[in-house]
Amino acid sequence: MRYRHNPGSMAFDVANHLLFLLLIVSFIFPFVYIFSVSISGYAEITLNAVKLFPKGELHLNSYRILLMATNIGIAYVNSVLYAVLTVILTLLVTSAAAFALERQSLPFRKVILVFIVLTMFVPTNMIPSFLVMIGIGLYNSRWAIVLPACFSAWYIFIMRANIRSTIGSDLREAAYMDGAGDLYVYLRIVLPLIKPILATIGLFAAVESWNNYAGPLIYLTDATKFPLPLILQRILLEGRVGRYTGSFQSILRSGPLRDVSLEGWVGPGFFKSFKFAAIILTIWPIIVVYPFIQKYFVKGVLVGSVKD
Amino acid sequence: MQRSTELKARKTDALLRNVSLITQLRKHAALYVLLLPAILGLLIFKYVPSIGAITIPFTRYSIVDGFFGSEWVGIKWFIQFMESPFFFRLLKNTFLLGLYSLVFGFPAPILLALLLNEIHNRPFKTIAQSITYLPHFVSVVIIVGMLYSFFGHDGYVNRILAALGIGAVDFVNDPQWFRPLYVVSGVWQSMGWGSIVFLASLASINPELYEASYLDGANRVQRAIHVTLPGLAPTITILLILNVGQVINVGFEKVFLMSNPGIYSVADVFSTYVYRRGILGLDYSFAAAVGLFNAVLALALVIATNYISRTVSENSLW
Repeated sequence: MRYRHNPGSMAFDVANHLLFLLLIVSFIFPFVYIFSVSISGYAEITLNAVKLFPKGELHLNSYRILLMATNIGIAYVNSVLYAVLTVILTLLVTSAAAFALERQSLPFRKVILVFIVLTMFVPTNMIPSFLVMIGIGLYNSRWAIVLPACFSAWYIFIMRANIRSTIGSDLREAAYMDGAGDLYVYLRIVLPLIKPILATIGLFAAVESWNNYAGPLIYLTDATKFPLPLILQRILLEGRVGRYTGSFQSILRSGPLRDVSLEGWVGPGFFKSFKFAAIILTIWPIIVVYPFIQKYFVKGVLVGSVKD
Repeated sequence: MQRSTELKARKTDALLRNVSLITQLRKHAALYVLLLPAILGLLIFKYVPSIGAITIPFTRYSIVDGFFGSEWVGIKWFIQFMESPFFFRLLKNTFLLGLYSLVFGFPAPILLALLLNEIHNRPFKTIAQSITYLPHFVSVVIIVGMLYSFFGHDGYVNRILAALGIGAVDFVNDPQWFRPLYVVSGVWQSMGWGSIVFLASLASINPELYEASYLDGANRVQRAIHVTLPGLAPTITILLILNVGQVINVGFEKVFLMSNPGIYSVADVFSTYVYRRGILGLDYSFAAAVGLFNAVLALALVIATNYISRTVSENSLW
């Protein structure tokens, strides 16, 4: 792009770059600070000596206590389980439907398309969804977290457009000439060829499932089925009003550490470190894989926005 | 005579068509099997709840009798809700929170995209983009946890304020700080991700327009105003219409996580009230009535904005 280099324009460039540096710092700083606090010495944290980088004797005690004294370990397993199941089912259900709807000659295709499009517009809300969950016997079941996330009209349409553009009609005709049935074509030809879009949609489904808070809050009562966000809410937020007392102590007392005396060193520094360790434990999968998969996400958004 | 042969022909025609439909259906049997899970899922998790969303508010819902068997009570719950002291408070809180989020949250990604567009250092641009997208993927529980850690009484912000000689501010429990915290953290979390759509439509603006503006001697600000913004206008209008409908649909999760009894007066919105009355209080019909009222209001807002947009500009959803 061409433009004249006058002083005003150059001043703007400098200011613009500075602004973005500032923005980048605002996005990175909190995470670095949180990581530092989670491994810093408790006394240093209490004295507010940690500004950005870790201070004092570095240790992983907060992580150990977190894993031993709270339900976070079980929650971790649950979250992984929900995410994996959601991704597999979402991809199977939506790609199968997309493959079928891509066939122009399918009788009642239009009717089925309208049926699916309408789900993007009909209002639903918390109460009826909750009552349906009770009605079909999934209340407090692990499936209540997985199943509602698996049926998305949006994903079906993105996949259908993708199947249409990647699989040439020649290829499909060639397969049918060889006497292949629809199921064979779907499983052996279409699925391998649309791997990129499967990866993109799978990632979206995984992140959505990993971060889902309202679903488990409404549908689950059994603490052994809780995913990470519910446990995090207890750790991060329930003790937030007033000084750190009550709920934290009870969390520690309820786990395997209840016999250990924590009175000596349980102070503000410990609590902060403990909370921040919980944050790091939850977001590291996203932070670590994010740089590598970021381009798939962006592609996914653009596929969605250029659908028409 | 002629009539009867015609009739006969029509009958065989229909018969043939039926036969061919059956063979067609049979031929595509595998495809229907592939469609079945999606149709069943959408039926159970989308259609049935939305039927419930419309019927439950007019009944005295009982779990035994279900969506249709429950006793019909008319608009009783709506009247009860509108006469309750909560009505205006919820309306005001929801509307203000949504309005501030729109006013500050909507222009932010557009501005970000425009400024990113002016950065010509490729690696820096790519890094800046990737990093601004990141918070979008962080769970709202963590965002609120971080927010309250950094703005808590011994958090980073209060330490800086203390160092500057300003007294401690109780951001977490003071009602007047709830809306600014909610809105600013929302902008911080979503502006990067929101800019992707605008960056994509920036890329589709005809480069000849930029060349022409250069030859006409336009400076960068003039170019942004006369070439770039008009190029973005259709995208902006459509997203604006959709977002105005969301003004009254303030999300449940973040408000719920941020609220504590000290700030209920500003942090109680329709969705948190529905949760409290319905899921915790078991007043299913009353809560569903509040939910339906909210949905109808949102729909009315979208229709009104679309109408206004269609009248004043060429861009509209329908």
